[in-house]
Amino acid sequence: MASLLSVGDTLPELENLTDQQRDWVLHSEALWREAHAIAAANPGVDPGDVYHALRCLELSPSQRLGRGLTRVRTRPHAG
Amino acid sequence: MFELVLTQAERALLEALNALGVQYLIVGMGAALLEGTPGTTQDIDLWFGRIDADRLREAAARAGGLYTPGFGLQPPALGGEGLDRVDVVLTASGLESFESEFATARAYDLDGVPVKVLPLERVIVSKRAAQRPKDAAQIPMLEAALAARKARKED
Repeated sequence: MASLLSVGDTLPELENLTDQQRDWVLHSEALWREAHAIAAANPGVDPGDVYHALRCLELSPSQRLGRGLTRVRTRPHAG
Repeated sequence: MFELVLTQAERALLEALNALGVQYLIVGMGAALLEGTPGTTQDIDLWFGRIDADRLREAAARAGGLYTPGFGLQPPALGGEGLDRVDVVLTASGLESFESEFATARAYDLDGVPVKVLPLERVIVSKRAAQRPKDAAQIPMLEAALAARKARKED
């Protein structure tokens, strides 16, 4: 986040990225902006936590649960 | 192709509970994760409004596992291969009756299985009421996720 903010509105390094990488960076920066706005409206809430929550909301419910379960499945799903 | 998170046994258990008409809610951090919280947990907590041992035993059997009503210090539990992540919850701190919470629960599709989930704001209420250090440590992340959900108008 700090490195993105430090370069201001122009990001020359974007030119060196693939289209997919550029999309990811721009989307990530948009989420950070949204996260900071949400945190500003909710005192005590950490923008980094909000950013990761916004990322989670882009996943399916199964993906969200799968990322957070620390005990791996003892038996792979065969289906 | 989406990634499946449940074991075959977990999936079979939830399907059996649904088929047998056993009402349950996914609560705790499992619920919080489904609601978009970027946290972690070891277990999938299932809160049952009423323990019907016969139907729980049947559901567990259909999943290739077992149900024990508990003995000694062992509380009621579901067990067996592939069911080790499932915990039986009998009471939930700080919440209304099971029926009341069930009525306002959110519906999710989990690996193709319909489940009812305690909303994130109610998970936070429960975590605050539990007053355990591990619950208190999770609250800032839960609050952040709730703020994100509200901003995205998911609540």
